[in-house]
Amino acid sequence: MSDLSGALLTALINQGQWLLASVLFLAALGVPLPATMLLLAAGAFARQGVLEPATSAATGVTAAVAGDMGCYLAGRLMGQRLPLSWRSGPVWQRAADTFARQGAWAVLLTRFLLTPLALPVNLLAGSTRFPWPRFLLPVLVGEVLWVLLFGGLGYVFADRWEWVSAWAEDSVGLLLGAALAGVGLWGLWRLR
Amino acid sequence: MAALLVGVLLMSVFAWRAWRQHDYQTRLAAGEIQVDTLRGWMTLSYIERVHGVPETRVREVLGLPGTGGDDLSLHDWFGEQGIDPLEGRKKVEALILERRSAVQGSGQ
Repeated sequence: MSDLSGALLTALINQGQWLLASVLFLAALGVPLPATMLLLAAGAFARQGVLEPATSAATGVTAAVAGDMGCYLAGRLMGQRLPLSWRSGPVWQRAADTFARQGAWAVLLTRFLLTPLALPVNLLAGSTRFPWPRFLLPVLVGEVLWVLLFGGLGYVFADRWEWVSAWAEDSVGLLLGAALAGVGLWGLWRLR
Repeated sequence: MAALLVGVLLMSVFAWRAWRQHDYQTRLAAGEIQVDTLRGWMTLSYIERVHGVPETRVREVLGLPGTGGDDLSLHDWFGEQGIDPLEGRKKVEALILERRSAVQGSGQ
């Protein structure tokens, strides 16, 4: 476990749900913080009586959704600053069309499953002007699932949450690797 | 090419994690770590809550001030008081093991 993770865990014991909310908010904005690990720890701490489960979960979901919306807004502002020649180009238009059709699923799956891809998906959603109400719904559902899934795992496996955290990180890494490989293979197949 | 780079990167990450896990298991098997649920990030009050060892006992055994520093982790205390982390850990582990056997003894 890194020094940063250790310091965050100590701070979580001392500061409680506000520390959890701050980390989930910043992580959703793209700051590289171990949010899933902290969520698992929060679940375990709730079981041990250090945190209050319901309010911690509610605060966590609210913070993560707020961070996602902030990231979406940043993407929207950045998209406006891109040169018009890029935005009106065929590649950009194709990406925007694809995202308009499949984006909601991408948003949902990157909240709780392929979490390392959440940041680029948020930025892409904002920059391609994906309608915000259609963005908000999968974000809300996905973040509730993420908090319940990982917080719940921490709660259930309170005495072994660090093992679960390592397992979850490995699984997400493997899933991400498989997804990237799949995209690569699909690209190669399309080129044929 | 990009897929190969990503593959190598992922393998490196997983290899590093596997080595860390192996190192930890080796230390555990060698008896260097006796209580595998004790961590440097834990505060004294958290150790009391999870392991049942009174904070006052930990302070006494480690030679820490009787009050203050409630937000400090075990790691912080070792650094602040110049305690060797391995020695300090062993002392806290001994308290936890003592507490466990007392609980088991009273349960029989």
